[in-house]
Amino acid sequence: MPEPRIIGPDGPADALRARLPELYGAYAETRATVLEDGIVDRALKDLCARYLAEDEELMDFEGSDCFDERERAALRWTHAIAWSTDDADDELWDQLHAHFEEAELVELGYFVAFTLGQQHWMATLGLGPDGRPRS
Amino acid sequence: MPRISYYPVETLQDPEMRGYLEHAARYGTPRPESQAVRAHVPAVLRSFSRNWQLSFREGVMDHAIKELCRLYVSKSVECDYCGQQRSVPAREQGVGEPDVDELLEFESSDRYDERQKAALAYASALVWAPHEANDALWARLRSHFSDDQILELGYFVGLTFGQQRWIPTLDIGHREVLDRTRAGLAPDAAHA
Repeated sequence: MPEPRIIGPDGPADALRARLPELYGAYAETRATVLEDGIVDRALKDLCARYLAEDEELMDFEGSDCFDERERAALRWTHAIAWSTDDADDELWDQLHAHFEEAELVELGYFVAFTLGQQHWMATLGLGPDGRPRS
Repeated sequence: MPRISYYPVETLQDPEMRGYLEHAARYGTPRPESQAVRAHVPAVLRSFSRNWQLSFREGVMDHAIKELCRLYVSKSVECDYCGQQRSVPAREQGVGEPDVDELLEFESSDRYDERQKAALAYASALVWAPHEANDALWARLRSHFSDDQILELGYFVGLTFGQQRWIPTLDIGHREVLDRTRAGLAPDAAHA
């Protein structure tokens, strides 16, 4: 198990963020108002975050019957943002607008972008997507 | 045409929200279009603007180095909208167009000093292979920066990386919202 590169008082990612108090305040507010709350349901956001983290149960969502069309549209956009922006074509945007209001799309897209960046940053620190040391 | 409409920013009533758009129009990085998309959700506009202010414009790490990293990400992930923007303070601190041109070849270029190269190597790792940020990279970073500077740099690069993956899916373009000045535009975009 790799050791976290910089150790905060409690180990996980929040302890590292807290070393920069003002920035941590902005992060904490983001978590409270956008990541864990907001106008898009939390379950859908969690699904997208798990996809970004390459959760094996989700990587073949296209071939699974476990997801409805709204979830599929969100996961397709998540895939495009993380790995293939060219996939965000007319067809995908038609699907997104069929299932989401514009404000919901802004919040969901920002959530995916912000979470993607945090996951990459934490990985450089030896932390997993949950902010805990990688096992 | 943007995939999500620009919020009619002229109708924003909240002074804080109007302030974020006014700042974008006057200074750029970010220019107003991406902020006009975020403005559909006040919490999103506030979140981005506060995180950006604290991790990019302010903070413990040199702003000019963060601007080089931002532009490295732009070139690396091909976010043209972001890559056509320039930080005015970074320009005043000496970051010029030749510094931008060689970013993708930063390791072999003699344009950058070792401090800048260490930061750019970290940005590259964060974008392309974050799990492979190894002991050698960390030793390189720590020979130039404090832990708090490294944390802020990583947080910032993560923030701009995520935004620069999202923005290309939105098909937004420059000078489409509050086009009062060319502030914060790269020379080519300013003269287009």
